[in-house]
Amino acid sequence: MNALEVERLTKVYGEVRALDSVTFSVVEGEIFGLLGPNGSGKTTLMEVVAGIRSPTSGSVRVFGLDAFRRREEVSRLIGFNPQETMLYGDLSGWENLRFVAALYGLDGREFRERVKELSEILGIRHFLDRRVDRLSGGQRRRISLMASVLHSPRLLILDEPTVGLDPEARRDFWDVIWRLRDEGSTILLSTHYMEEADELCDRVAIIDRGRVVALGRPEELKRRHGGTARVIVYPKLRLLEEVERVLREMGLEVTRTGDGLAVETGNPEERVPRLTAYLSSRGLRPERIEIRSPTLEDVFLNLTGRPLAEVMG
Amino acid sequence: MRLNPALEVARKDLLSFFRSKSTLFWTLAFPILMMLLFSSMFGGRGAMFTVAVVDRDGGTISRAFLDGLNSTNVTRLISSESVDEARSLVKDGKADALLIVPRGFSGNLTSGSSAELIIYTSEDPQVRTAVTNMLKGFIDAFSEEYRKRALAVLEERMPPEIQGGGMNLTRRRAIDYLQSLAEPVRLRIASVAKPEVTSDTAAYWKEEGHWVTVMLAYTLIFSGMVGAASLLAYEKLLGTVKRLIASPASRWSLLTGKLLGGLAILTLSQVILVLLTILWLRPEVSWTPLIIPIVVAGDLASLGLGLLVVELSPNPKAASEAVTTVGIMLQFVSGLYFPLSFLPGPLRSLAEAIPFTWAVKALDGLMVMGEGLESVIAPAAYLAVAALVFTSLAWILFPRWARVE
Repeated sequence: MNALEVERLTKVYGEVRALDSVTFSVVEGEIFGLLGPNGSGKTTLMEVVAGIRSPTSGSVRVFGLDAFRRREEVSRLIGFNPQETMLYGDLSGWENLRFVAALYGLDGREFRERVKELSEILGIRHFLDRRVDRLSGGQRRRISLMASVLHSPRLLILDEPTVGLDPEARRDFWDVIWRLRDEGSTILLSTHYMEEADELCDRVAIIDRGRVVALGRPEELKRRHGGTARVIVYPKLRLLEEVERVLREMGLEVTRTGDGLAVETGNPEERVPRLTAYLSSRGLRPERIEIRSPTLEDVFLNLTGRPLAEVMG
Repeated sequence: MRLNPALEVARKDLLSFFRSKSTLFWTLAFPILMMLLFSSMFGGRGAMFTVAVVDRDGGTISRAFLDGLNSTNVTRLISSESVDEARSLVKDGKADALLIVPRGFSGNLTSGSSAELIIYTSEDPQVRTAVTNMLKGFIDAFSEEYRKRALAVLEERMPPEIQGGGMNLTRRRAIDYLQSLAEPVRLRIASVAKPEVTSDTAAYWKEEGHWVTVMLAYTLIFSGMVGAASLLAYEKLLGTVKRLIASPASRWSLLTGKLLGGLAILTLSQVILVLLTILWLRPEVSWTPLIIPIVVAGDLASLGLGLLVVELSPNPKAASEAVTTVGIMLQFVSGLYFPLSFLPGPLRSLAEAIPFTWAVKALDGLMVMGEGLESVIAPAAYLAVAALVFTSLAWILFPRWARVE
């Protein structure tokens, strides 16, 4: 069964089409990523699904229910965690959770047991009694996430859940997301970190300027749109031009990438020993050689004609 | 509409209120500081003038005169042994004036001669005018009382008819005649309109009962508007409005929660402020349940107006600035700090159209002037209509405001 079906969803602000006929579906139990730069329409899309914004046209169905006509029922199926932590700084973590739980009609013993269970998963038990404005960013994110899953939503929407976290905290957060999936939630998350989408998501939709430009499993997208692998040769700087000339002599197409020289190849494992041997025979020993497989970044570049880093400013 | 989410919103807002130091300052500490400041400047507790006294007479009447002067609450008397000592107190700024009661003061009064008092004042012209006027006022009141008593004694001892020297008067007529000699022209001052609570700013502040009105009205005018605005605006500022909207709680129950929370905060603040005023000033006011409809309708009008301003503002910052400006302006034109008669004509007309001005008038009327039901009906109705209009508009505009666009 599909947890989410988005069909021809369009959102227009004046002259700007924030979402342009977006169509995709999320299968129950999967982690589905929306990948794209800031301003690509990811947040608008998630907020329309969560019922916070109304669309200009199109439809959204959550577990078969029309998200706009049956808003109250759908809101019980969805847990929404936006980019902001959405917590009251002058209340403790516990008080914040209690308030959110009450909005979903969860209280008493049921609430306490759910908090106990989730605080184990999220590792937040020891700071639940502290005021939120005295907690670190990572701690706040965990409480905010917990507030979003208190009512055991079947579809969890996470908007940039790891933005601003250091790499270690980000990895910890991925573990939490996997555990929540294992608990039975379907997860729709947005990110602009390519490696996050690659590592975490079963399927990814790449969004640019309000349109879905590609959709599929990360490996599939890389294979289809990522181009070939590249071998990057890093010679001594003073030998850069000479090495480039020698590589061209070999009939290779070479592009400069900073201090390195990139050579596109379909079979890097075979290409590297041959390259090294040829360069050595000319008395040119590279400092190091790297093999780079296509990434989702390459997919974005190939599909939009712009590198993601440039789009992110 | 389920009530539980509304109650939870109210409960959460109440909890936040008690944890916000700045909100607590503006809601509770600020009006108390104002009361302490103005009541010590103009209030009846503590003397405004210190007078050094040299009583050379020491008689019964001079002692009664000085006791009376001491009990006016506007003077503090310091007894001095000599004129030189008293003069140096004035020179050193320890006293504002020196009053000498000459030898023979009591004797002159009882023997039918006029008695004399000598006053030296500080060189400060403002102090000189104020202290002279104050002493003149007291002497006038003392003289009138003395005259009344002397004429009463005379009337008792006078024969029923007085004849001789071309005169033939009854006792009553003779007393009236003597009264007219003692006070040939009498000035009676009255107002053509219903009198204001008091006639000048100092007296306005001195009227301790008015402080209870100030505490109730400050809360309903300023704290109500600013409080309601911040309760709503900070949800957008924190981004928490998204969680509220994404929840199954209806938008109506969220707004009801805001109103209930605001009302609870205002009521609690009003109880605390009035209790502190009673403890500090011990005002003599008439307590009547008729205050309740005025305060509740006023609170709701203020909360509704605060919510409305936020909903009409382009962003939380603009809302906060707008509501603070309007709140401060309303405090000054609603008769809270000085009588409406102090305002220039057009501004006064505008002030009289503001519902909160009616609340101030009604509260003063009920508690300070002891008025009854008839003085409450119109203001309560006007405030209730204002509350209904403001909260209804806030209700209508809330879904539009709550939408994140």
